[in-house]
Amino acid sequence: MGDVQRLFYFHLASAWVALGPAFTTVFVCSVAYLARRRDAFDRVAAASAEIGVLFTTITLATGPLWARPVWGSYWTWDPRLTTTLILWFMYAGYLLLRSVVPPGERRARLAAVYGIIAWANVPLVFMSIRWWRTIHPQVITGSGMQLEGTMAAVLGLSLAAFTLLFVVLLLLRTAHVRTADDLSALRRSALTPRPIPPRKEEARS
Amino acid sequence: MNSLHFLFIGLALVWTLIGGYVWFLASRQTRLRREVEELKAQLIRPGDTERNSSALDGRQDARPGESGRHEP
Repeated sequence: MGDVQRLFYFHLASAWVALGPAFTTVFVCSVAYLARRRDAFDRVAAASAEIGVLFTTITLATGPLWARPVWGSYWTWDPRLTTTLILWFMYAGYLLLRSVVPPGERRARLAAVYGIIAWANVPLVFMSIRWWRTIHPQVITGSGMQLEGTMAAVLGLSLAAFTLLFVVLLLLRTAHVRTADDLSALRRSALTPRPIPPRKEEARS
Repeated sequence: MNSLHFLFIGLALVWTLIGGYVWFLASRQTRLRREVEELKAQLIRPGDTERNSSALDGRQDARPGESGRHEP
């Protein structure tokens, strides 16, 4: 494969972050929101979906660049590639939904339902290389990781680094979403004229 | 193009996407901070004392029941 093989450490790590921590967090927080109706779950789901789309974009960008010198083609409609592209569109749709529906309970509820449905595609992406004929490399099989020692160590480091990056980005983005929500609530309450209570004399008469 | 070119383009894309997102977060942070300052300025009347400013900041010395908000 040559030098382009090194893209693999970014490709697999970003796919792991998107499919594992990011979209699974969206799913868990969506379920939790519907069960508890706490805004914090909605905020974490929104932040996690955004970061998941970022990492899926990295996966979809690095994959074809690796494939061109190895397969001789940037893109094939392989089950793994196709399901990943569908996944990207589904979560881009999630973000679009959040941007078009006005903030509030209705948006949070709709997004939670969508977040649960969209997650159904995650196991499909993971299992696609087992269920269908594919040319996509299968790194993790039933008999373990199909990698030589040094490569496995570098991959482990890469997975840890990307997971840490995800956690940091999630904390930052969740804090932003919360501040923005608080700010808009504060602005609404500050700008809404409140009725002036009647004076004591007026109230008596 | 050889294998190294694809590696270079791939790494450039990865860092551009991650850097772009971090930049987006930083600019969002700056905008939020500016909005907070604007809102504070709207809520504090000219000539108001330090007391109201403290209430908006949520400091301990703010008197109970004082939200810093003024009736229109």
